[in-house]
Order: sequence, then C-alpha cells, then structure tokens
Amino acid sequence: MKNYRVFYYSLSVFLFLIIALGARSQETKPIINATLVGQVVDTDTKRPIEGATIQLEAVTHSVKTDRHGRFAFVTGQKLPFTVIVSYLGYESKKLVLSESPATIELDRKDQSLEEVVVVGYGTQEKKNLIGSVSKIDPTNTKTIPESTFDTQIQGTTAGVWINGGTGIPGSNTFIRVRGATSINSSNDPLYIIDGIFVNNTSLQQIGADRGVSPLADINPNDIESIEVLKDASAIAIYGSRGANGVVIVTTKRGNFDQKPKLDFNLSQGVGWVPESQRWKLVTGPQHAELVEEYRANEGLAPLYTRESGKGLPEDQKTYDRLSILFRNAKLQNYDASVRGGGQSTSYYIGIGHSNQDGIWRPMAFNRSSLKVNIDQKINERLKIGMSNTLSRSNRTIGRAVGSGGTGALYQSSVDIPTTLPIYDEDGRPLRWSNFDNIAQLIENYDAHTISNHYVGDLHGQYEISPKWVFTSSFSLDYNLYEENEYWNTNIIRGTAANGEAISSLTQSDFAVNEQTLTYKNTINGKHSFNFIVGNHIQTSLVKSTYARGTNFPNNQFTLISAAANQTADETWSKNNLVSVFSRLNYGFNDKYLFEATFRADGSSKFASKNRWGYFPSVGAAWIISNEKLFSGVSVVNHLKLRTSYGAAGNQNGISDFGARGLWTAGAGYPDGGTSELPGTRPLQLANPNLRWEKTTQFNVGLDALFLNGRLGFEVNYYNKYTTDALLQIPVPGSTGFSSYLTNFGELSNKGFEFTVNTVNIDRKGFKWKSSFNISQNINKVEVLPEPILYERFSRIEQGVALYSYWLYNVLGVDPQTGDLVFEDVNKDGNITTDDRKVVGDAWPKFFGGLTNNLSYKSFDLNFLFTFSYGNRLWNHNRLLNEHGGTLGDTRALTVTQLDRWRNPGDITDVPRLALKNYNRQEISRFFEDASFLRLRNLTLGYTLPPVRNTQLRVYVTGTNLWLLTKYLGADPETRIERGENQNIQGYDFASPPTPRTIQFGVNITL
Amino acid sequence: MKAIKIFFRKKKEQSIIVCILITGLLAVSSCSGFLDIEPKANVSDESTIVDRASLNTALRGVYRTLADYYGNYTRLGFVPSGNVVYQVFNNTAELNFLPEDADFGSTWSAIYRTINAANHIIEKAPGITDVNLSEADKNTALGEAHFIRALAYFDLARAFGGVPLKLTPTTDAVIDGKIPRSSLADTYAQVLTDLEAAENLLPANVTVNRIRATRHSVWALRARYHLYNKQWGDAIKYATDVINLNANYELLAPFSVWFKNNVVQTRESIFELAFSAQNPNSSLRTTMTLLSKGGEYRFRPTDDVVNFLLNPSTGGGRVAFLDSEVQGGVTQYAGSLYYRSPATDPIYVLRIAEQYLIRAEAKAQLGGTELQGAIHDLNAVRNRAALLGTDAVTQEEVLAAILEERRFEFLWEAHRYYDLTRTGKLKEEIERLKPNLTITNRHYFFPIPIGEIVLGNGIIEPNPDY
Repeated sequence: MKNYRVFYYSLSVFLFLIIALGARSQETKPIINATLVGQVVDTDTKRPIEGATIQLEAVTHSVKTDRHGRFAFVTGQKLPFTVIVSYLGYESKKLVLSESPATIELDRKDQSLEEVVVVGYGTQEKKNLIGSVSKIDPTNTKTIPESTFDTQIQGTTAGVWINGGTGIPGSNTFIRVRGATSINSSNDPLYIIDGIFVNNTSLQQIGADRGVSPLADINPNDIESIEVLKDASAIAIYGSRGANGVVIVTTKRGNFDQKPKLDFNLSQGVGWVPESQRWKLVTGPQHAELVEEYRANEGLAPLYTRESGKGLPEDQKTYDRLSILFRNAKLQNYDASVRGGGQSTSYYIGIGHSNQDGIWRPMAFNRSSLKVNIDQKINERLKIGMSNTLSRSNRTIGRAVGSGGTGALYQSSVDIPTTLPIYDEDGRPLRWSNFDNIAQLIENYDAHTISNHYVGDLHGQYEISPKWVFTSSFSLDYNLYEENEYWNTNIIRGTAANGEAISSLTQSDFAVNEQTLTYKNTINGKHSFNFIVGNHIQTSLVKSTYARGTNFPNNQFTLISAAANQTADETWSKNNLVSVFSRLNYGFNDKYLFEATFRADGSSKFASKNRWGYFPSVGAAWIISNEKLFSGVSVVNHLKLRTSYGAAGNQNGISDFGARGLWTAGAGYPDGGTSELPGTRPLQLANPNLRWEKTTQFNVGLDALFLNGRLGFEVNYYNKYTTDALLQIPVPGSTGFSSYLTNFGELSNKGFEFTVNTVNIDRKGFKWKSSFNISQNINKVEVLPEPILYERFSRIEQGVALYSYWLYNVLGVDPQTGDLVFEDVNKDGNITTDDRKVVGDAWPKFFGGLTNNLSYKSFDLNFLFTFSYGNRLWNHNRLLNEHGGTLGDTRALTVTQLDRWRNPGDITDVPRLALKNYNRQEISRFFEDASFLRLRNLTLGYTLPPVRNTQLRVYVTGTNLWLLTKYLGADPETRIERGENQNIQGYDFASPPTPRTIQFGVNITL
Repeated sequence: MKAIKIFFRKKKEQSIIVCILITGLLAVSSCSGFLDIEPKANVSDESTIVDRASLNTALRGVYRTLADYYGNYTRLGFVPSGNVVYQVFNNTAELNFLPEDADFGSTWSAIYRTINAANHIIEKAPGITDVNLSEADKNTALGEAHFIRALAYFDLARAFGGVPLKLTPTTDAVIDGKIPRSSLADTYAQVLTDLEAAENLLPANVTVNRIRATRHSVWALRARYHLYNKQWGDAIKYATDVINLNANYELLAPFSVWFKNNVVQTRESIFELAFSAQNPNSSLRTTMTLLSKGGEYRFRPTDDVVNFLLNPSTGGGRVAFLDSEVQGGVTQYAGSLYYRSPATDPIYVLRIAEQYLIRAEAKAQLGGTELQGAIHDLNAVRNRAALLGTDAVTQEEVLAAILEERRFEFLWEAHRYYDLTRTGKLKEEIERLKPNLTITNRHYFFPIPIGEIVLGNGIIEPNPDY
C-alpha cells in the first residue's frame, strides 16, 4: 500500500492546485473600439491559410484565421495597426495595416530556424538548441507498411540504426541510437508519447521465437512529429532512462478557435516477395546426385537405389513447398480524424483500422485504434488536457523458427529435401525429416494474440505568472496481452500431447506522476533564463497468468477446461523509480548559450546502499552567425557550434530482483508413488553490490544554414563510454550456476553523423528538396573479464565490438584437393578450438538514407533510399542447407551447393563433398557481407483542384522496390533474436524477408 | 531582495512557488519504502532449509534437478555408440567431439546444479533444530543427498574424467568458481566416500522405494562403481546382495513389461527417475519419436541395429525397443523406450538386469571357475529377452558376448559409450559399426566444455588432445 500512498498524495496536491488556483484567476475582456477584418493566403498558391495567428503589436490579444483564412479583429486601438502574422512552416511577417479588409500573403519557408523542437520537459527553438536532437516529420514515411512508427522512420535520421526487416507484421524493431551501450541491460531508447513514458518491451509469453512490439498498437496516422534525442545535453534530464537515447512522439492536437477539419485516408495494397528474395533449393535429381557424390567420396553405399524404394537419382521428382508458404499479402489502412476547437476547448479525435497480412501464411496483424486528445482552458492561467490512445491489435502468430514439432513454418517448407513428396498417392499429407507437413501445418495453425492497450494522461498547467509555470501530470500505459494457442492432433506438437492448448494473460501496468516548475525570463533583452525543476515517480508492474492443457478428448474441444491434464503458472514482477531533476538554460545576447542538467534516480532494483544514481550534464553553444563579423554576410544564415558532456544511467532490461539470491519452487518430485509434492531449488546468486550502469557522452557538433535556407547541414561527433556495465557474467558450471548479474565491463561507442538538406530547385510550381544522412558508429568492448559465447557462433570479448562472430577462419578451398583451408591461428599444425577467432561483427561501417521530395504543380513525388555498408550477417540458413550431402535425404540443399569442388583445378569457395569439410559449422564462409542499397519507399501523389474546400489527393506508394546486395540469403536486413538474447545480432535464421509492396491510397480533407 | 525580485514580481507568486517546492520535497522524502519491493515468485536464499517441511521440499528439488540432467545425460550415453544415425546436424553421433558442443556444456552444468542442490542439504540439514524433525528423518535426508552426489560425481567421472570436487554450497561465484580438476582416482574416491556415507545414513530397514535412494540403490550403484574400477570381487558382492533381494527386484518377462503400457516403478527397477505432466521427460521422448507420434525424429537406430532387433533369433523380445511406420512407401524405424504422452516416461538409472550383467562381467573377468557363473547370469538376461543361451565359451568370448548383450539390453539407456570406454573397446567397435570414422585416444573422454576452460582461466585443464 505504501506505493500507492505517494500517488494519492500527489493526486490530492494536483487537484488542490487546480481548484484553488483556478478560482483565483479572472477573465480579461478587451474594450471594443475598432474592427479589422481580412484574409491570410499562401503567396504561391493563393490558398487560404487556416490557423494563422494575427497579433497586434504591444497587445497580448491575438486571433486566428478560420478555414477560409479569414479573421476579424476587435480592439481598443485605432487604425493603422502594426500586426505580426505567423503560421507554422511560414515566414512570420510584421506589417502595418492601414485599411480593412486586408489581404496578407505569407511565404512558405523551407528550413526553419524558428522551428520548434520538442526536448525533455519542454520545447526549444531549433536555433537555440544545444543538444543533438533530430526532428522527423512522419508524413512521408507513415504509408510504409510497417506496423510500428519507429521502423517506419528507418533511414531518415543520422545516428539511428534501425532494422525492422523481419517481414513479420507487428513484430519488434531493432533500434540503436548511437550504438549499443550495454551488454545485459536494455539498449533500446526510451519512448515518450505526449509526455507519457511507454513500454516497448514485448509482452509475448508463448510463440516466443520473436518478440512483438507494443508500439505497434500506436497508429502512425495520429503522429504529428517524432524527435530523437541523442547527446548527453538532450538526454540527461531523463537520467537513468535516457542512456540509449530518447524517442519523443507528439501526436496531433486541435487548436483553439479552429473550425473542425476532417481528414480521411484510405489505402489498399498488396505485398509479396519477389523470386530474387526467396531461398533457392536444388531440384530433386540434383539433390540425389549431390548426396550420392558425397557418399561415393566417403565410401558409403548409395542411398538412392531401386532397392531402397527411393529410386535412382535421375528418377527423383521436385516438390515445391515454398509456394505453399508464401502468399500475396493484403494491406489495408483506413483512418479518419477530426480536429478543431472553440474558445476554450480544443480536440483531436482519430480513428483508424489497419490490416496487414504476412507474406507467410498464416501470419497477420490488424489494429483498431481510437485517439482522443482534449485541451481545456479553465481560465487564462489554468489549462488542463488529456491524451488518450485506446487500441486493440490482433495478431495471427506463425512461428518462423522453432525446433521441429513446435510448428516452425520455415523448417517445414525450406528444410525438407525437394525430392520428398508433399502428399502420398491418396492425397494424405506426408511428414519428412523432423518437421510438420507445411500445408497441414498452415491449415491447422491456431495461435492468436490480442493486445488491449491504453496509453493516456491527464495533465494540468498553471501559469503562476508570465515567468513561472507549474505543471503536473499522471500518465498510464496499461497493456493487457492475451494469447491463445491450440495445437490439434493434425500437427506434431498436438500429437505429442494429444492436443495442447495454452492460454496466457499478461498485464503491464506502468504509471508515472510528474511535476515540473518552470521559470522563463529575459533580463535587459540580453540575458535569457530558462529554469526547470521537477520530480518523477514511476511504478511498473508486469504479471501474467498462464494455463496449459494437454490430452484433449478430440479436436472439437479447444478450451483448457476440456483437457485431462491442466497446469497453470503465474508470474509477478514489479519495480519502482523515484527521481528529481532540474535544468538551467542561459543565453547571452542570442550568441552564447549554456545549459546544465542534473537528475537523481532511485531504483528499487538495487539494494538500498546502491539505490541512487546521479546524472549531471553540461552543454554550451556559440551562434557564430550572430557575431558582428557575419552581420553583412547574407550567404550564411546560421552557423552554430555546440558541445556537451554528461552522464546517463541504465537499469532497464535487467530483472527486477536481479540483485538478490533466490530459490525457486516448481521443482516438485514424489516422495513415493506417482503424486508429485512441492520442491525447491537454488535459482540465482545474490549480488548485493549491484549498482547503476553509467554512460558518459561527449558531443561536438556544427549546424549551418546557407543561401536562404537552400543548403543546410548538421555534423556531429560523439564519444560514449559506459562503465559498470550490467553484465550477466558467466560463471564456471561447477558452481551450480551458469551466470550472475554484476557490474563488470566497459564499452565505448564513437561516431560521426552527417546530415545535409538541400533545396535543389525552387521555382514557381516546381520544387525539389533532398535530405541525405550518413553515420558511422564504432562499438568496442573496452573491458571484459572473460569472453562470453552465445549460440556457439557469437562472442563478446575485450577489444572487439559487440555482435562479433567467433569462427574458424576459412582461407579458401584448396584447388588441388577441394578441401577447406583453415587459418592455423596458433600455428601448431592442428585446427582446434584454439584456432577460432573473431572474424568480424554485424555493425555497418556506414549507414544512412537519402530522401527526395519533388513537387510539380499538383504532383508530388518522394522516394527514400536506405543503405548500409560493411555489415555482415551470419547466414545460418545456408549453413544448414549446405550440408554437403552429409544429411542424405533428411535435409534440403541450396543451389549454392552446386558450386562444390569436383576436379583438381576447380576454383570455388564451396568445398568437396566430404565429412571433414562439413562437420564444422562455426566457419567463416557463412559469415557474409550484407551491405545493401535499397529503394525503401517511393510515393507518387496527385492533388486534385479543391472543390468547395474539399481537398483530394490520390497516391500510389511502393516499398522495397529495388535492392542491391551481394548477400546470398533472402534479405540483408533479416534478423532473429535467438533465445531472446539481445547480444546475438546479425543472425539470419528462418526469418521472412522484407516484402515488396504496392499501395494505392486517397487523402480527403474537408 | 533585489535579486529575488527578478524572479518574483509579487509576494503571492513567491508563496505559491515555495509551497510547490515544499510539497515536492515532501513527496520525494515520503518515498522510502516505495523503493522496497519483495519478490513474490521466488524466495530469498536465507530462508530455504530451516525446518522439516523446507528440508523435504529442498530434497525433492534435488531429485528434480537430478532428473533434469538425466535426459541429456542418457542420450550422451547411447548416441556416440555406433547404434544411432542423426537426421540433423550432430557431431556426437559421428564421435566428432567438440568442446564447444552445447551438449557437453549443458550436461556438465546440469550435473553441477544437482551437486550444488545436494550440497545445500548436506551442509544445512545437520544444523536444523525442529521438534518435528526426528534424527532418523534427518539422516535419511542426508543419506539421500549423499547418494545423489555420489551418482552425480560418478556420472561426471565416467564422462569427463577427473573433475572439480565441489562439496559445499555455492555462495560466491568468484571464489566458488576457482576449484581445479581432481584426478580421476580422487573423483572416484569421492564417489565411494559419498556412497559409504549414504549407506550409513540411510535406514537399515529398507522400505522399497524405486524413485528415491535407499540402501538397495546404494548397493546397486556400488556394484557398478566397482565394475568400472575393475574391483571384481566387490562388484560381485554388491550385485549379489541386490540380486538376492528377489522378493523386491526381479527380471520381468516378457521383455517389454517393465516399460510398455505406461507402467512405472516395476520390480525391474532399483532406482528410476519420476516425471510428470508438470515436469515431463520431453527431450528424450521428442528427439527419438516418430513424427506421426508427435516426436521430432531427430535420430534413428542404424540399419544394423534395426536388422538385428527384427531378427527373432537375435532381437528376441527386445524388438519392443523399435517403433516404425510406413510413409509414402518407405518404412521408418525409431527407438522406443520413451514414448508416453505427456512424456511421463521414467528414466531407468539402476535396473536389476544390469546387476546380473555386472556380476556376469566381473565373474568372467575373474575367469576360471567363475566363468560358468558368468554364463549363467548372462543367460538369465538373454532368456528373459526370449533368446537362447549364449554359445560363448572362452573368457574372451564370454566378455565379448556380455558387451554385445549390454549393447542391446541398454540400447536407449546411459551405458553403451561408457561400456566401450571402460572396456577399451571404443575404437574396435565404432570402427566396425561406422567404417568411415577413425577413433583415437582422445575419444575415451568427452571434452571439458569450452566455457569451463575459458572461465577457469588456466585452472581447468582440457582433456588430452582437445
């Protein structure tokens, strides 16, 4: 109960403030004397601008234009007036109006220095920014058929390495902001939506070979802007939560005094996987021929003979299982929204439905969402507001990987030799190797999940005076994740248990309360101050109930209540965090900017002596272009040098009770007879010294804007260093444990980011803008006591990067013998484990993207290329299906096997078919270069002439239309989380490739 | 005051802000306690073995942990035998032992988990003061823990050679992880010490319990221990002690009745491990069972084994170890000993048939007049399997016949690889059954897992030639 007390306490303070303070303020009414009416239009298009602000100089009173761009002004002053007209995305204009009605033209601006950027607990003008923050306008990327907004922005932001690329709709995103700072705690950024901290960790319990993303529950159409906070100055205010960067999402809101504006967006499309991105297997006769070649080389008796019933190699038929797995996937999106506002209330209401089929049967994802944002002025000083997202996402799960009988789609289709028939002569499905029949598996697959998700907050803002503002907010991210599976007796797993059903309910309940007090003032027109102090209280609870039933009467009964054997499991895990933070911004003369931030976090995950972590940062910037030297230089619009240094902490992703010594129950055994009685055993070693992981970061950057905004660039260099890394350190098995959690190890990430934005052409009616970004991150494990091995292939060791592969290094195939030549690292004449070495890692040397936006009259065209250079992938699929014939007729062979060495003098990298060349899997020839250049998105739109304020745009958008890569697997961006282990990356195993899609859509605005 | 005036225009403003700051401070300071959360799913270390009830639950946990390692361990015992063909990539069946192979690492760790759990009992039980816990009950628990630790070290010794002897519960990963390997002789000496302790602590008046350790299971394991250590007299003595308990343990016929039809704890068993729907024996069952019966059919018996078992004169009743199905005109054969759904198949650790074969082998080794006794015991096992008596005559022939008998009697149990290594027949037998393999001296032990060597940092020596 103690935990709730803090919340009740804060809630009562909040309510008190709203009531008490609300009552004290008064309405101010202008004295009516003169009237001014007019219209604001776009200089180029002459279309009315809705929502532009017209402010009288020297008076606080302002009005906004309506949907026809019209405004009416009633004031105590007399003509002529000096007014300031402003609108987001347009140059502000100050002008003297001497007559009424007046028509005011506004010019669109391209790279706005006045652009407001959302930072932690506030906003800043871009020109005054010290921290490194990237702002992303999701307009062009939101049509990309990825279910999460973070995957959609891939390639648009420097320093952010994103790999969605799984082809499984609704699955999670791999994202690293400026590298990876941790080994065992989370490397994901912090996600904040409208000030609400949201969970991005998968809640999936079953079907767990791929995590899902709770962020897929957020409708990208409701998003106004996305900011990524990268350096210490920007993230330090989030303290322990910000070490991996922060992604701030701002959703759409209404404006006060805005007529209702309706938006409809409908699109339909299809996704598929082109032949070039599918796995290629040998034909039946080729398979048999390869197997016999191996057997002959090894002196084994032939397998494909008439006597064995298999028939001779040349008699083999070829059966195609891949076409059963792949399909043309339907894509549908329907969104409708309305925004507007009255004098004291504004609103945004959005509804959406999205439907995405997987390119593999039977995977599918659909989401229905409702978004309601409301802001209410109680009086001139007090404002309250709510943000609400309510959504439901349904997933049809198909396991991509699995072990044999767990319903693995990939293995049941790709891994079975093409010689083996799918059905017998009577049409009965056949099962081969150790997998299900693919057709039967797909038909009987029954695994579904439902994510019920609420993300919302209630916030209030009280303006104590023009300088002091107090805010308070309560936010909640509540996610109820339901999972149901039924394995009937037509599939192996169901047969094993005579029908098996699983039902699981997982709740994630994540609540935050925050208060901030802000002071803002400019003294003598030279010294600007901005000071904020606040607190943050958070509680996170994840619990689940899991039931399993086996032994069903027949396939008609699918509920666990019908099962003869029923078991249940329950989990409960909770952590709390308390923080205080403050930030001071000081600017002198708009030239010298200074920022200092401090945050202290207390976490329940650590023992009381190590509970508190302190995270300070400082930053400074010099706007060089505001120096006198530049006063006459019109070529340079803006030039700013900035630097920052600071620390952030990390405790995310580690177990809530990771510091404790624990025993677990569930190890029951009978005392006699067969009825099991409870048993306990050791689970985890204690580490009372567990403490915060810390990452310090230095950043230096330069922002520049030339030629009236036609050329701008931003360059950053950063150096991050992590100490006390939270590490699940392996211990000798002889202790009875495999690992324990401790702070050991240091990591570094250094890199460059470069972004250039250009306006290539800007003539009447024809506009072409480009944005290019390229980044480099060099990751290195600086200190690590002993190497740690994952899944036999991947290894972390001191002096190399995370995601490194530890392999026997193949120098090639000897043209004379056809055998593999290994590098004898220790030169002892034998190839043993001592000859394995780190041959490379999965990190790209460079990655980035190129966006182009073109508009010509009513047409618009934009396209996005993404690229990655120097990244390598562990091609596990090829390894398994390039077995050299050793597995005879039990495993498929890929076409790459046909290039094997056959005769002396053959130059190839595929060795002779002999056991000695194929009995090692950990060899470098399967660790391939996966550099690529991809046309990720291309959209062509046409806007029809408006009819009675109704605007209609039709568009066609395609993704993944073109791909250039040398990688032999299906897709260079594929990935798998083996055993949910974040330290295994760059591992291509049984993962569906990124689909190619085409969608047609229409936007209607009324 | 002037400085303050920059920030505050009015007194009212000032008091509001002070009020907010004080409130904020109070909110944060009321948080002690907010950051103390106790886990619900698991319990802390300190309060685990304190009275009769917690001793009993911890002891059951030791058995469960033992059962957990026996799945993998059993497979390691019969896969590198020349009797098995894998249908997926597998180095063990081809005797290509690699230190990085997960099978070795996970088995090693699982055995030591059992040892650690047993060490907790052995260290903490003597100190319990609970009026409900009689001295006899306490000794029984201690005896069971010693037996399990003996079995665990025996299993380590025959698989890996000498191993680190860990005899106290682990409390500190760094300190407890720094134990070097003992010699093979010292490891076996520890097994004997624990077996003797177990025999003394377990009640002399045995109530038969085939799933928990009793003096009978201690004797049976001692018989095997002495056989492995070539102490033929002791092997005969302890095997005879068990065989003489014919009211409790006997060779059941026909052959399959000790495992078919979902039976458990038959009179064949001296010590078997129990599984349940909650704690199933899934891995063994899944890997060997046919797809149509819900298995993954990862390996199958070699054609040689299939033909031998299908022939009534050589296979006899042991044909029950085979399962088959016809698919698309092809007959597929699979092993069958673990076949139940859910996988509640017991794992047979000590069976009476083994005691006969231990005595037969020990007597055959002694030779001379004992040879007839050896043939007698061997034929007891053969007859039970519906086979005619052996035609072996000389000592050499009898020993070979016993080895071949063990190959099929324990086809799917943890024996074959160790029988070949302890008798020195590994090279001969494997190269006979899998002609494209070459066996060298290093194959006589599994490699010490790579993780132990890397983490041992020079303390843990690899096995020769790995």
